[in-house]
Formats: sequence, structure tokens, C-alpha cells
Amino acid sequence: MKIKDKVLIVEDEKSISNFISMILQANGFDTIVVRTGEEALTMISSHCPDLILLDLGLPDMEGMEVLKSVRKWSNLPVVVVSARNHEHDKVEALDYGADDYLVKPFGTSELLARIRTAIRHTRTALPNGDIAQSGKFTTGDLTIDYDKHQVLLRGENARLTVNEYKIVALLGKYAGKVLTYDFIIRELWGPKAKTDNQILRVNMANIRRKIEKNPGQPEYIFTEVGVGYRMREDE
Amino acid sequence: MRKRFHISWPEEWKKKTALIRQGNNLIYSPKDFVVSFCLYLATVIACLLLRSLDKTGDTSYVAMLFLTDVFLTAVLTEGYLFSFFCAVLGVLSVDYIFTEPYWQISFTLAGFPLTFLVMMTISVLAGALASRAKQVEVTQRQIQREKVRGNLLRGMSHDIRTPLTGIVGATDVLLSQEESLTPQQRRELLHSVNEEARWLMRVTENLLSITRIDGENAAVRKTPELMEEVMEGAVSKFRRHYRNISVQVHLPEEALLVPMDPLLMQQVLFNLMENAARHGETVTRIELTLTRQEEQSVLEVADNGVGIAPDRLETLFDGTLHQDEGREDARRDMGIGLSVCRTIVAAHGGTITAENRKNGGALFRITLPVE
Repeated sequence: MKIKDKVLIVEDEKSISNFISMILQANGFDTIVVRTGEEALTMISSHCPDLILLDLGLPDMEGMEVLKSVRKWSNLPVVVVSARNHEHDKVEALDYGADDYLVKPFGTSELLARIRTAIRHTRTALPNGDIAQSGKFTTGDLTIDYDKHQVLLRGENARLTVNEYKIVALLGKYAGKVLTYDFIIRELWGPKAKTDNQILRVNMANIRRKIEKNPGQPEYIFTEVGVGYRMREDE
Repeated sequence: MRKRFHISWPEEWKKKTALIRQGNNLIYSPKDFVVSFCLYLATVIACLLLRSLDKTGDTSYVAMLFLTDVFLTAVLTEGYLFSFFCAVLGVLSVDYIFTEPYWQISFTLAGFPLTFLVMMTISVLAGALASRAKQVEVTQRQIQREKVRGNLLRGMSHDIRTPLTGIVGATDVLLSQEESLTPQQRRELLHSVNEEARWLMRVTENLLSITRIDGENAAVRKTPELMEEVMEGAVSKFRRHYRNISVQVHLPEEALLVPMDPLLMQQVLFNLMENAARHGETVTRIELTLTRQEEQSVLEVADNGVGIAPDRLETLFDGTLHQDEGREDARRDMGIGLSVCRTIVAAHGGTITAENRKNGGALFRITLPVE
């Protein structure tokens, strides 16, 4: 028998945790539901869940505190679920190490997709891991060749500039995950770089014109408005 | 609570001006003090300069310059206070510095009381007129704002009440008639509840987006954003909700960076597409076209539906609910969707217009300043 993935649901609204729990169980997950941050921290260390679904507004503490304390000792995937829809909140959660951020209200298919992605991620595509071995990342017609520092589109060199290549390469390493503007800028231009993301935007516009059929309806690199970019995953 | 001393000046000015706007005319602000002092100093210097240049001894310009000073002070400062003091100071200065014998107060001079009286009257009147004009302007802005807010509230309650009625009704039936309903009927009811709730979700998104606009100044926090990314976001959200309408995006060669609040602009585009999908009746295709026309970025959302009734074009964006639709719940009016669009675009200093295309369908056009 296949061992089920265990999801810890940290949510104080009973109606919401109920329906999430039902859906996850129906889709082959085990679930544990807790309502406070305290309980969550205890459960995390005693039950070792495969993923945490974390609401930010908890009765006893900020969900962000739970995230911070988990990140001190573990790489365990955390998907933040919140009613706060401000870019600022998303960026903060992602910067503190959340794997994904879902805004309430969300659809069930979206929830399942994000959970599966987050779990798969921590298992297989640890940054640098796979790519370092094969030297390549492929999704659809797009291939990033990390050895030759090239991006190929249907086998043809897309002729990216050095900076453009670096951005695509970074997104490829974390494919499926949203990388915030600040994160990308820090990784590319160093921690002291002025956090002006205009250069990044202009680069991205150029990248899209080279690799996407229609930059307005991209297939490979998606925008999370106000937050950052995400590379399509390798199916 | 004790006031702390290191309050920054601009914050303080804001508070003062806000108080004055509420109708209290005798509150002074340091900024106004500086302004009137500078104006007064400039006038004195100008008069002294003219006197040293002009040897004929004609001093008629002195009174005129001081009158101008009073006028400017009245226009540039809030309330009567500064223009009044300026007038007193002006009269004294004319007497003390610019009337022979110089550097002496000489009330005894023939005709002086008349000059004093005329100047005082004019200055007070000018000050009063200027403040009143400012008051009227403020009041009108307030009235306009109240009107917009009222329309929004009305649209909002309509948009929320209608789906809520549906949800409550359907669940009531489900709970009370559980046995007599066929599985098919039950499914239908649940389906309608689901749909209404999803609609409510989008209404609340619109409401939330309004809270992002600073109410007092109707301003938004702008950052330079790639228009195409905002379009991408709106389109992918639209696709999730309306699968059977195809969307096409046309972009210019050169990427357009436009200062905006990206989430709000995304909301505008989504609203326009949703409006097309819900009210265009026969819409199967929506086209988004971005172009640059000089210093404006122009974004068009066009559909191939039935278009907009000509009599509605005028009031489309002000959130007016249409009487001729009879029953309130006859049809969802997108009560707040379009007025939210206008509020957001206006807060960006842009324009939004609607028209019917020649070959059928509606076209919405948004222009936003590029710099």
C-alpha cells in the first residue's frame, strides 16, 4: 500500500478546515487539523507532516511566527493560505521561506495543484540538485542548458544576453515556485544591489520577446503581479 | 496625552489645512506664515528697488504693489487671517517706509486715513472672496465624492443582495424539501449556490480594491510596471472563470513600463472582460490591444457581443442602476464593476471610455500616462 502524504492544516475557521480536510482526504492525503499556532508547533515536531497548510490569522499568534520557527530547523514545505491579498504580505511570506501563497477564497483544484507542487518540490527538485546532475532543465519546447549557459527553444539557441540567461537559469532552478523580485535581484546582482526592479522588468520583457510566442500570454515564465516570477514546471 | 515636539512639519500642515477645510477659518499654518512673509518681503524689496531706480519721486506704484501683495496672500493662504495682517502691515509700511518723511509713522498726513480705509477694505474683501472660492471648490469636491460613494454603496448592496438571496433561497429549499427533491434538482440547487458564491467572491474583490485607494486624495501607490504582465494576470484569471471565451492579446513591439498599482489595474481589466462576458450576450472572443500614443499608453478591450445600448453609454461608469430594467434582480448590472474601473483609472490620472464597434460588439478604452 502506498503511504499517504500527511498534511497539517493550521486554520481556526472550522468551516474552512473542514472542507479542506474533506477534499484532501478524498484525494489521497492524510490530514491533521489544528486551530492554534501553539498546537501547530507541537504537531509539527511530533507528527512530522509532509506539508503544512498555514493560515496567517491565528487566534494565538501570527501565522508568520509559525513559519519563521519552522524554517529555523526544517525545509518542510509550507503553503500559506490567507485572506490578505496585499503584495506586501505575499512577498513577506515568500521571503520567510513559504513555498507558496494561496489567497482566500481559492478553488479546490488550485489548492490541490499547489499542494502537490510543493510536496514534489521538496522531494525532487531541491535547488541545484537535479540540474547539477543532468545539467539541463526542460519544460515544453524550452531547454535551459546549464553547462553551455544557453537557453534553447525547440533546439535553437534563443540568443539571450548574459543577464537574461541568468534570470531564466535562476527561475529554472526553482521552477514552479514564485521567486520574488527582491530575491532575483539579490541572487543576480548581489545583496548590495539597489532594489530597483525596473532593470529586471526590462530584462524580462526582452526575455519574453525571445522565448514566448505571445509575450502577453506566456507559456514559460508567468508573472505573479506585484510579487515576482514563476517558471513553468517540468511535467 | 502630551504632544511630542518632534512632529514633522508637513504632517502638521496637513492637519491644519484639514481643519481649515472643515470651515474653521482662523487657524494658521507655518507654511502660510512663510508664504505671506516672503510675499511681503518681496514687495518691500521691489518698492525699495524701484525707489532707488526712479528719481522722479513718483510713488504711486507703492500702493499698487502692496495691493498686489495683499491679493496674492489672500489667494495663496488659507483663511482671512494672513491677508488681513498683510493689509495692516502693508498700510503701515506704505506710511513708514514709502511716504515722506521716510522711516516715520505720520498719521497726520493729509488723505492718509482714506488710503488706509480703502486698502483695508480691498484687502479684507479680496481675502474673503478668495477664501470663499476655495471653500466652494472644497465643498464641490466633497459633494462629488459623496455622490460617487453613494452610487458605489447602492451598486454594492445590489450586487451583494442579489446573490445572497439566491444562496439563502436555494439552501432553504435544500434543507426543508430534502426528501422530495430529485438528485438532479438537488444538484442544480447546489450548483446555483456555488455559482452565486463565486460571484460574491468577485464582488468582494472589487470592494477590497477600493480600499487600496487613498480616500482623501483619491491617490494610489504607483510603481513602474510592465503593462503586458498586468494584462497576463488579468487574462489568466479570466480564463479560469470563463473557459469558453477566447482571449487574444496584442502587444506593441516595445515593452511599456507604466506607473500604476498593478493589482488595481489587473482588477480593472478583469472587470472589463467579465463585463463583456456577462453582458455582451453573444461574446465568444475578447481582444486586448495595447498601443502607445505619444505619452499615453492605450489599452483597448473589445468583444464581439451585442454591444452597449446607446442610452446607457452615458451613465455606464457612474454606478447608476437602470430603472428600465424593472425588477431589481432582473439582471446583474455589474453595479459596481464599471464604477470601480472608473474610480481606479481616475486615481491613476487616466481616462476610461466606452463605445460600440462598427462591426458589432463593445469597446472599452483606457488611457494611462506613461510618465
